[in-house]
Amino acid sequence: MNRRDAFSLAFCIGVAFLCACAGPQSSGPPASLSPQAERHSWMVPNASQQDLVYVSNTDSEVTVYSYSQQTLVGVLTDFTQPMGECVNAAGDVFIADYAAKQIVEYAHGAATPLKTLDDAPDSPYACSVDPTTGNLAVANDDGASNQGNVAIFPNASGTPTRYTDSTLYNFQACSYDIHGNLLVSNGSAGPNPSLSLFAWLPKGGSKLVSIRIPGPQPSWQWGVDGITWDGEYFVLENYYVYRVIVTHGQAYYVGETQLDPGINSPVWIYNDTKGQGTELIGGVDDDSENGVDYYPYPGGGEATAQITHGIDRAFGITISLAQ
Amino acid sequence: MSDMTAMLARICCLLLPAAAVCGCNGGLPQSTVSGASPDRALTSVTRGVAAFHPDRGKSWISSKLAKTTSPVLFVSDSGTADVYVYSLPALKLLATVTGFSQPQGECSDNKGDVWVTDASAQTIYELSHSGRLENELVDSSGYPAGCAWDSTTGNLAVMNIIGTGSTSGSVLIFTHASGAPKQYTNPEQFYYSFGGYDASGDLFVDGRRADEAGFILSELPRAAASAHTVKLTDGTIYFPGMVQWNAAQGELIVGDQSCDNQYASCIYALTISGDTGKVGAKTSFENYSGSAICDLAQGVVFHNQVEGSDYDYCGSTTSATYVWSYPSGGTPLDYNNSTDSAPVGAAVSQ
Repeated sequence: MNRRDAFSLAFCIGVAFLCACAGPQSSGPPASLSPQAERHSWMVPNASQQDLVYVSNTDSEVTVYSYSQQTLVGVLTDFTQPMGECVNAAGDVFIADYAAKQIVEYAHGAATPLKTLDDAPDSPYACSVDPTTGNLAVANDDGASNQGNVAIFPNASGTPTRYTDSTLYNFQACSYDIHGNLLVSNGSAGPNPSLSLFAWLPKGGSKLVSIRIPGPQPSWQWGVDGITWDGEYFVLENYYVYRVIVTHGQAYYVGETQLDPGINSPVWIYNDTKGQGTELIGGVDDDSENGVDYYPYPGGGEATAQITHGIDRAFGITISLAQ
Repeated sequence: MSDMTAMLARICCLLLPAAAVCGCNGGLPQSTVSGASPDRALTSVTRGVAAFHPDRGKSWISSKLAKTTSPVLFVSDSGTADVYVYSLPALKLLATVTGFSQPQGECSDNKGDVWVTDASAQTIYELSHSGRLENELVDSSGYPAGCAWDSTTGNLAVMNIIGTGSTSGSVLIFTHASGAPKQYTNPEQFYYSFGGYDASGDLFVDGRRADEAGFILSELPRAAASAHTVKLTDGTIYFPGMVQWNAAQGELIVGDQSCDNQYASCIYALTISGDTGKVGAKTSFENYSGSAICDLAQGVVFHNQVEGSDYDYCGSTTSATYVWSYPSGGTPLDYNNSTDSAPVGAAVSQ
């Protein structure tokens, strides 16, 4: 069960609970279905002076932390179902609100949005910003009945151009490389083995191109929760993380970073240089842990720090550097 | 993915190949070519451990290919994970060899066998003129993407585009195409793509520097212990493509997959002098719709023609295999756009 399914289940249980217990029905939407409606966004005064970690949680909040201290410095509310996140060169953070069919942009360390992008009728699952143009790519997963797409918002504004591919159905992850090439993923193979898991939109390209990405073994089967760029390679999250080269439509496996514990959400890699990033963070959600862990990168190994305060099954994660 | 799911996936990855070994007795199906129609139960490079088959297809070889001694073109396709064999110059499909994982660059030897590098499988396969598996070499040091045959020694050079563990790529020399290879590098080069030997046994290999800052051409002189950079003058090559020695003209043909830094491919004739390569005449190619081709990864110059495939991720046409005139290039003499998905390597077997 992925995070969207978990939300849907929770939603259905909530509806069932209301129907069973609310007694006489009143008109209008049930207020309790917006669990954070009465809470307000806040941010500590000096938040913008720090490198910040933004975490999308299943309880519909986005919690914000000091990257270096792992302390809570703010909470962003008024989301319906926050999912994937990304950041632009200015440190502005984009948060895909899946159920609301929109993407909300916040300035680094701000508690109120800069703007909201309408993605309807599609449901945004993940996003990435093209470092060469500022364009915003949004991976749309429109469920089992409707094919998704990747929407490109020029300069992160206005009306997007949408790209589909006959061999991809659910678009659940995407990332640009430093050259402005976009890699998108179907997430996992699903019931139809003929469907592709990955497609590639070269910089300036006019169509998505299905590509095969090899794993650490010839028979490797991907189950990708997220894609990010580490400064040199695309990084695919698949419990551990795996580095690949994608160039001229050809993909090559480079190596893996083993994590203890493994990750089950998209990851983000701290990178304050032009080279390869130095630390990886990602959500851990199992019987013993529910948090966001820090790992050495690309070396991997045991987590060196952890965020737990305010974390509720973290999904989207991004790091916004102080400007 | 949960811990348990991930663990099950890993167990499956380990058990499925083992099951394939048990089920196949570790042997290669025997070929039985017959009749005019393709036989679809023939050669697959799968030997023992089952590789990932994107198209789930079986190998087939036409009766014509089994009998012919005419030159044929081998094209590796990483999209379908197959190798296709075409007639020349008509480009009629004569065989499909399946069972690869990620087939890449190719080279042909003195016998007319074609060696196919497979990056994901870390293996180099030797196919006969009729597409049958003759031999295979294991490459545990990296991910092979190109190869070159030294006609003066019978050695096989293999280019690892990158090494295992995120290390630099390298050149492996398999003496007489067998045994354990020797490894060579140029400290200035990180990615190693395609290569070719000149008539004296000197090896030229193209690729990229570590920071992706640009193209690099290296030379591993015959019997040398290491490779060195060939400084290019009078032109710029942006992204590594084919490398082939043109004995008739005494020049090195080097491809550029980003010709003029655009989504287009071309090849250049280089004059090599000492440690310098002078970039000379450029040959550009058109696709069957009259546009510049998008991406020719590896072509092969053969009898005043260039054979190779255009991986068209640019969107103007579909991917296709072509024959063009050389050195004039331009409009294709013939093409076949019915088969290719993401073609990479090309070699002529004769």
